[in-house]
Amino acid sequence: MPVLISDRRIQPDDAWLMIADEAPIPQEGPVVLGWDRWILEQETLRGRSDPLGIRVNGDVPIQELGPQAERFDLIALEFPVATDGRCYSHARVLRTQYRFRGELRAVGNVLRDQIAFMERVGINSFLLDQGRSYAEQALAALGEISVAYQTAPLDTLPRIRRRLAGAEPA
Amino acid sequence: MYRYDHYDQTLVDERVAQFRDQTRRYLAGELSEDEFRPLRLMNGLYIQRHAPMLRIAIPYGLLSSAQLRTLASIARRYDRGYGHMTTRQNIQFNWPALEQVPDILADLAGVEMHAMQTSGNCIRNITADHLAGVASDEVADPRPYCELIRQWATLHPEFAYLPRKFKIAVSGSRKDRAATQVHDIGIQLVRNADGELGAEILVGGGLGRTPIIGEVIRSFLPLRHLLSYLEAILRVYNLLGRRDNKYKARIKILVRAMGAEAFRERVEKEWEHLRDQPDLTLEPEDIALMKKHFPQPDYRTDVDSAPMLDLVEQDDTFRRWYKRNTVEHRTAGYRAVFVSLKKPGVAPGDITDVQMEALADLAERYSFGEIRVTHTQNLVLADVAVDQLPALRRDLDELGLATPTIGTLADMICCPGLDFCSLANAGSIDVAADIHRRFDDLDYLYDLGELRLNMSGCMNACGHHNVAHIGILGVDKKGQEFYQITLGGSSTNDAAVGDRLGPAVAKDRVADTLEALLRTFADHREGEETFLETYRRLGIEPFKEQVYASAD
Repeated sequence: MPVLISDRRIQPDDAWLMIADEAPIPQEGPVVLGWDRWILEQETLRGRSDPLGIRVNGDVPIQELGPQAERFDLIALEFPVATDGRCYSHARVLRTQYRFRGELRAVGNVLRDQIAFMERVGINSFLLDQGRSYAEQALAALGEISVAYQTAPLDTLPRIRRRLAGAEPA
Repeated sequence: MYRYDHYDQTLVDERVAQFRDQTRRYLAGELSEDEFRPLRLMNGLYIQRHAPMLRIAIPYGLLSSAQLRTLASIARRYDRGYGHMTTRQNIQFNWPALEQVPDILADLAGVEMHAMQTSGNCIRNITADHLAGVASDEVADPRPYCELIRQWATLHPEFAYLPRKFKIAVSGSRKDRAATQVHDIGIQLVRNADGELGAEILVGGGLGRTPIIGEVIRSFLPLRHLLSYLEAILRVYNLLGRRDNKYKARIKILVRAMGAEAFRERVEKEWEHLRDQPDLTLEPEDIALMKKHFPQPDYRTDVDSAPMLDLVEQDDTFRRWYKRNTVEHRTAGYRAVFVSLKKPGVAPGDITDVQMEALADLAERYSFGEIRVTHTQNLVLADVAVDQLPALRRDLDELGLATPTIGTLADMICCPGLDFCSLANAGSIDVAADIHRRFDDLDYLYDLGELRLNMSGCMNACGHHNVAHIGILGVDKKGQEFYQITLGGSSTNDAAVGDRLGPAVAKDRVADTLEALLRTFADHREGEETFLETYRRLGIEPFKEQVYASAD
């Protein structure tokens, strides 16, 4: 049973339903669709009022996703293997360039030792497949390194410049 | 040099604790080999032929005497009493136990050092000119910019899982001593027509199995934009670099596939979104603050060079060392001194714990307590008053660190090769020893003039063989160690990839082959031409004839 962490908490429930590419889309409720399906069926989905999420991986051109991002309440970024780092850039571009304010969720091969990097590029929820105690450890791992030289898109931590001027770490 | 503040120290301390826990979990079976690999690599730890190998970052090659003493202590306590200086200004230890690596990292953190990002598919140690701040041809001191880049790159969350490793070098001088043209990004500090300082940006250089010389994608970048421009390049690479084939994953392949112009356009487009981000902008006060970390030392003004110059006239041993192992300094009365790690019989770049400790003392006595590492695997004491040179030479000689062959054939670059490295196809240290034995006549070496001989034990090219005047590459031929020779390469301003001479030669023929090449050079040399000049004038044919004719 996957465990969801969002906003630095383990969530008891997940309101979102991930829809496989061939599966029917329920009439109501928040659903997450694959990118290809969205491209094909967006006309018919246009009238839908319930929250809509999209699932993308590193192959999806960010210039195509970005301008549509505000249409979605959730963007799930897929990490097919832990070493595929493209979605780190997607997250950062979505947050800083396209000003996406919704939920950015890491799915796929999401590991305890990586989610701190993911959080710092603006991903704010993580779907972990390895059970509850792993998720608890992962949550703790978010605090392992308390300082960073880079600014995260959603934070107000001191910038490199303030730090250089002698500012204390947050 | 740069000193950590509370913020920097917190980061390395927490990083050590994090890796200690990761190592514990790996040893307890909680982390799989596949999961642990990228984590240990990003902390400098390889699993090698005999034992793990730990590569420690020496940012832009700069060490304090206290740091060198800690490296000595690590060599003694956790290794077999020596370390190996690399072509990227790092130091490697070949025999640490995995269980002890967290303790080593804690020792390093105690002297403001770390092993972060010395391996793995991330931004590696930033390298620079070993004569930074003292070279007389310097446009600007690269070290403050190197440190700013180091901080920007350290644990950069967006670029921790790049398609492949990523190396950045910075040169602040007209003469490129940092091999900027063969790095993923090369940065050359320049002044524009208005006298304003900026950076020329090269991308897509690299060695390995597809050596490529980098291309300029921006001839003048105002320094306030340095970090945002780097970020734009890295983002384009992270998104578009190939991930399906690790041999085609470096940025050089992407730049070549797109074409430098198309790559540049893409970067500039990305940069439009980044260029005015305050956290990526270097304001003049940011740069001024960083510059304060690299002050000019308190040079003496009473240095009398006359007795030393007399000794140059009278003493052959001193003269040889002075001419080969010291270079001019921008301050009157000072020289920069090369500490040779190329003593015959010792693996090039190796240094013992005893030598490190003694050298730390010498650095304090003679050179303001600082030591630099060169990409040619030597060390430098950069600020030595010339009236101290005779005493320093004697002290270095007692330590076996005064071999007067800097810049000659005997000053070869050499990777650890088959003896240590699990990637290597062939030995390199024993070939280096053969070459040292064969060419042991100093006058002959001096007659040959400037000659860069580099050797790698495999095509990953850690020994930079493909940009050497004479390059030697170890290959495996049906289980036998063979060596392919290349000629005419260079990693400095006239950077070029060497040309293949012909079929690889057997191990016991390498020294003979070199002799034949040098005979050809001597026969055709005009005046004081260097080997490279003669080669470039003549082309490869006469060398080929000589080598393969004499082999028949």
